[in-house]
This record gives sequence, C-alpha cells and structure tokens, in this order.
Amino acid sequence: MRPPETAYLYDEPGPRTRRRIRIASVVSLVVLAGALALMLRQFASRGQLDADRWSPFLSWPIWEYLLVGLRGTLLAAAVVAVLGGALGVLLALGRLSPLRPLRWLCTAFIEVFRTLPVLLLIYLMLFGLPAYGINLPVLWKLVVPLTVANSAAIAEIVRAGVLSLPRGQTEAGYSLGMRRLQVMRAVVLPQALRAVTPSLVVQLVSLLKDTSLGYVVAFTELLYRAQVLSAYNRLLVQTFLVVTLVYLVVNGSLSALASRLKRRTTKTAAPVAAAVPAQPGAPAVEAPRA
Amino acid sequence: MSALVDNLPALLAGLGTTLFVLVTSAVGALVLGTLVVVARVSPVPVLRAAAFGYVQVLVNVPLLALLLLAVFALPDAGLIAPLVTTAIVVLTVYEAAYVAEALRSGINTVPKGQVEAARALGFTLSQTLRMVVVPQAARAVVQPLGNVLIALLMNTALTATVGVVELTSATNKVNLVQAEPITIFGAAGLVYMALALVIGLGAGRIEKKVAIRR
Amino acid sequence: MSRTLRRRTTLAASLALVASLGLGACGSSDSGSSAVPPSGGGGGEDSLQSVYDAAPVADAAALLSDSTMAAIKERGVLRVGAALDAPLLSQQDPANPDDIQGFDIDLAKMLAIYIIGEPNIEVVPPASETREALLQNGTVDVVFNTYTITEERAQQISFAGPYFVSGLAVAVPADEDSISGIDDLGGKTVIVGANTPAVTAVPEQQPTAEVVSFATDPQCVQALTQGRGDAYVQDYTLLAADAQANSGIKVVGQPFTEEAYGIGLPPNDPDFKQFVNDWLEQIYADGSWAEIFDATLGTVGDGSTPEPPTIGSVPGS
Repeated sequence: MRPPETAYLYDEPGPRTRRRIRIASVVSLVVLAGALALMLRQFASRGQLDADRWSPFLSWPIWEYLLVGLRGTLLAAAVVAVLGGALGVLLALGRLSPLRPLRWLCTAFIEVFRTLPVLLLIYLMLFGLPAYGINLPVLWKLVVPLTVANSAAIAEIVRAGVLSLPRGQTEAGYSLGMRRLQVMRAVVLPQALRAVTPSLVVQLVSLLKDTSLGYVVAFTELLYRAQVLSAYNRLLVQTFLVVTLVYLVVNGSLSALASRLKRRTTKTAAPVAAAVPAQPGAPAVEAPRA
Repeated sequence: MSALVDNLPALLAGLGTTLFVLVTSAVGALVLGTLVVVARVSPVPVLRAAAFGYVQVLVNVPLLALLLLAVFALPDAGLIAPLVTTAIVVLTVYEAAYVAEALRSGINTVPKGQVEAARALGFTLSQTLRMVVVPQAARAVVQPLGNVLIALLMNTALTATVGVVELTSATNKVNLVQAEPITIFGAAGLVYMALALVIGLGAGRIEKKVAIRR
Repeated sequence: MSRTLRRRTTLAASLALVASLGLGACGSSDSGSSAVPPSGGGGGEDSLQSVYDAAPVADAAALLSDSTMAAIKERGVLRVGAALDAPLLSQQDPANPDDIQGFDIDLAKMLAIYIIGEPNIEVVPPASETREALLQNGTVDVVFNTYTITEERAQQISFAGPYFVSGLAVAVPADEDSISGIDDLGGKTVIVGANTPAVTAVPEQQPTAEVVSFATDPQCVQALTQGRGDAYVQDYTLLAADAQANSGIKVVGQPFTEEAYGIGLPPNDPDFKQFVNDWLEQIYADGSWAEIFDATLGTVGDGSTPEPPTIGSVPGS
C-alpha cells in the first residue's frame, strides 16, 4: 500500500515503532475480521446467505429490471447536472456582480435553496405547481427541484473557485483593457472552473444520490425499482444490498474520477505555485452537499 | 393560517423529533467521524484502509438506500431496533463519513513545513497534533463542519420516508387533512431555513473564537 | 373533520365480498422463507383474453370531439395511475415488466379497449400522496389504485364509480391470537399506510392506539412481520391479497368501515366522468366486471362473486 498522504505527520518509523505498527495492524485486522464474521454469522443464522436467496440475482431479467431503473437514475442525474451546472455558474456570477439588486437576488436564491430539504422542495413543487396550471412530465418533476437545490450548491463551489484565484489575474485582465465580463469569461472562469472540477464531480455524485427521491414523484429510477422488486420477491436484504452495490460502483467510479482530477490539477498547478509549497490558505472548496 | 395554528401541537411534536434526531446524530457523527479520521491519518495501514473504505462506501451510497436497508431489510437478518433509534444510527454512520472528510481537509490546510518543524524539534505525533496541527486545523474546519451539520439537518427529512414522524412527515400529514400545501410546506421550509441559519451563525461565531491571529 | 361515512346502499356488496374473502385469506402456512412467491394474478391473463376479446368498445359518437377520451384515442394509449406492487390488484412481474396483473389493472385495460380498441395502457405508479397531483397536472388520464372516494378528495379531482366496495380491516402476525379485530387495538401500536383513510379512522375508533405510518403497503407488511407494530390496519382487499402472498400475516375480524373505490379522473371534466360511468354500467351489465373479479380478487375467496356497487351511490362520486 502506498504511503499515506499524511505521512509527513510522523517520522520514518524506527524498528520499535515498526514492530508496534505491525502489532496494531494485526490487532485491528483481527477486530475487523471478527466484526465481519459476527455479521456474516448473524446473516447466516437467519438464512440470509442461502444460495436460493441470492441466485435470483444471477438471472438476466432481474438485472434488466434494475438496469432500466439505473438508466432513469443516470438520465435524471445528467439532466440535473447540465441544467444545475449552467444555472449554478450564472448564480455564482450574479452573486459576485457589482450590481447590488442582482447580487442580492442571487444570494437570496442560493441561501434559501441551500438550506431547504430536497424532499420538502419536491413536495412543494408537486403540490404547488398544479395550482398554477403548470404541467410537467414526470422526469421534470424530479429534475426541477433537484436542479434548483443543486444549482445553489454548484454556485457556491464556483464562487469559491473564483475567489481562490489570485487578484492579479483579474487586475492583469483589466490592465489589458478588457471589460469586467470579458475578464470573467476569458480569464477568471476558465481557471476557476478547472480549479473546482474535482468538487464539481463530488457534487455530481451527490446529485446522483439525490435522484433516489424519484420514487416520490413516480419516476422510474434504481431505488424505486428496487422497492418494487423487493415487494415482489421479498428478498429485502439481498435486493437492497445489491442496489447499494450498484450505487457504490457507479458513484465510486465518479468519485475515483474526482480524486484523479484533483491529483492532476494539483500537479499541473504545481509550477505556478512552486514558490509556495502547498497552498494551505486557499478557502476550502469541498462541496457542500444537498 | 389557521391550518397552522390548529395543528400546532402536531407540528411542534414533529419539530421536536427533528431536533432530537438532529442533535443526537450530530453528536454521534462528530465522535464517530473523529475516530474515523484518526484511523485515516494513523500510521497503521489496516486502520487507514478501513477508514478509507468506510468513507468511500458511505459517501457513494444514497442515504435513502441505507435507510431502507436498515429499517426494512436488516430486521430480516435479525437486526432490529426502534424506528427513531435506527434512523439516528443510520444518520450518524452516514454523516460521520462527511465529518471525517471535513476534518481531514482541515488537517490538510496545515502547511507541511509546520509539522516538519515540529518534528525537527523532537515533538511526538500526539504533541504535533495537539500543539501544532489541531489548533490551526480547527479554524479551517469549523465552516465545513457547519455545512455538514446543515446537510444533516436537511437529511433528517428523509427519515420521514421510513416512518419517522419528524417535521416533514408531520407537515405532510397536516397537509393531508388541511390541503393547504403552500402555507403549510412554506412554514416548514421557513423553520428549516431558520435552523440552518442558527447552525450557520453558530459556526461563524465559533470560527471567530478559534481564529488564529497571525 | 368527519370521516365516518356510512353508506347503506352498498353494504350488501361489501358483506358479500367479506364472506367470499374471509376464509381464504388466512390459510396457507408454509415456512415463509420461499424465495419467490407465486405471481399475484394467479394466471389470470390467459383466462381473461376472452374477456378482452369480447370487451365493449365505445361508439365513435361517444368520443365527443375535443374531449378527453378523444385525446386518449388520438394518443393511442391510456395513461393509468396504478400501483406496481399490490398483489391481486396491480402487480408487476419484475422478470417480465410488461406483465402487470390484478383487478385494478385489468379494469384499466378494459377501459383502454373501450376508448382505443386495444388494451394499450401506460402505467404511472403514484406514491399514494401524489395521486391528486398526477390527475390535476394531467400526468395520468385515470387512477385505478384502491382510491377511496371521499368528499375532500372530490374537491380536488373527480371520481367515476364506485367500482368496488371494501372496508378497513385488521391484520396481525400469523402467530398472534389475542387480537381479533379493531376493538382489541386500544393501547396497541398500529401500523397504517401513509395518507390512507386508516390514518384518521384508527384514532377515531381507538384513541389510545399509537399510530405509525409507512409509505407503501409492502413496507407496512414488512413492518408488521418485523414486529414494529401489533397490527396493521388497511383496506380489506389489500390485506387479503397480502395475507395470501405472505404467510407471516393473517386478517382478523370484519371490516369496520366502508370504503368505496372510485376511478380517479381529472377535475372539472363532466363529459369524461359520464363516459367512464357509462362504461362501468356496461361491464357491470355484461358480466365482464364479475369475470375480472373472479380471475383476480376472487381467487382468494370461496368463488362467490359480489354484486358491483351502484354508480354514484357515494358522496363525492
């Protein structure tokens, strides 16, 4: 296993420390394995590990059923990502704008929708919109609340990215005779977005998880299909574990992408920041979650 | 408006449950998250791997899937606890991963050079952490932790889907009888926003207190 | 608000159903660990083919121009709000997702034939709290979803029918012998479906009972078998079907309320409502309603078929 990123916290271990680390490793391994064994025994004692409770998940129709749900999950996530991303960038720019009314409006929007539970938002839209005669297809009833909530979160990420840029960048733009919007578009945003790409991918994971609320609006997504499936086959433990695994694989690959991007950005950014090893002062651009 | 006043006891009871779930799982998540991050930065590879795996699993799976798994599936394996308890445990376990990530990013804001300087002075690991890393990381960590708590507040609403009668669930029930969605959900929304504001302001206050004067 | 609606006119049909379902519901007692239960529809599809073939089709004149039914025929598919997880009423076979069977869904197919000429339906599963919204915003044309007719709901949407009458009843774990009906539920923990009539009916009958609600019927059944409550109060038909599919629970006692199911329709569309009611009259009269009942809900009874309820006999319909 490669050395931990926090290896600088301690000295190169000497022989005694190495022995202690080995002992600690063995002890924690035993404890973890013991816990796992206990859990498996608990599952086995209720027959949850029996082959006939798992074999249905080897059949194609079951997977087809779940994968159609996954397609819905991915579709909804993609639409929310595109719309929420665009809206989020606009909101971030609005919040950074020198125009006071615009700044106020965008700040209010962001702060309100960053702090409302998405479920409440979905209920509100579901019961509120029909009263005004607005008729949306099922997909949009999920996508609109999620877009609103996620655009607020994305706006904050983008804003953090913009603020993390050295002021000299903007000033250099102005001194070249560029106007505010030009500076934003040509100088600030490209760099800011690249800096926060890992956080944006993390947000993508978060919004993909949010699509599991689709069952409330009767949208065919993965978790909804899992519920119908488990109601039919009554293999609850198995169905939900399998679906959890599917989410883990899909989101895990996205998260892995995020950390690869993060490593790459820090690597390419390194020459610029060479004079100052590591960049501690930068504001945390960890994604606030919805 | 009378829809709200008439149903105040039910809504307040729901708010009470929301606050109870929020506070207990927040405390639990802070404790568990700290343990996870300690394991994550420890020199023991097994613990590091376990902590890494823990965070990866919980950050990548929807809370709703975990709630359904814990409330409806695990009892089939003989693992059953009262509803609210189950919900609190799931929220604790889920948010602990985010607490751990927030704490870890805080540790990462402390310049390497400072740690190396401490080591050069002969500080032990616990001395380095206690006297150099934690005091500096604390400031960077307050705001992210505040955000985790706000997310936790919003996530307590999801427990409504597994039968916990908290604020969102109570709101929904009142709306079923009163059929005034805009008023009723709007009021609940204001309450959530007010709570988030309290958490945010609290975090800001603490942040000022622990600010390092350079 | 008052939700105690007593409707003498349809009581006979209700009792006939109770008699027919009562015995079959609490029978089978195999281990409960069978991995895949038998499909809910009980092979109804084949036996119903002849019913579909002979199903009534509306006259062209009945499809008034610019009407909802004309729009449905134009579209070629009837969009139905219906469950996917209700055994004997509307259950999807995950191994074959196009295969949805049960009393509600088969009637929906009959309505599709009546309008379009083909049993073309598109099922939109509602969470029970969103049915009014689905109808109001036009996501679905009709709702067949054990949708109890109430005057409150009738202010938001319209109901055709009733097409079936049942009532709330009590289910308990199969090994529970001390509860034999609603009267034994004082001080007990009672599971109900979120936003079902039981939410208000249980406290009315048993103020000391503690009510816990879950979102879906399968979740409620699961909660009951796992001991999260002492009893589960739900519509009798649903409970009977649940008990047939799950040997871990049984239905006890008689229904203690009367629930009339209606076909949920968009609000303020009297032509469409009249049209659907005309169709109901036809399938009542030609016996196809009874045949569908026999093939679905009737499979858990003793073979007797109730009389269909009188259309418009319930406040709100």
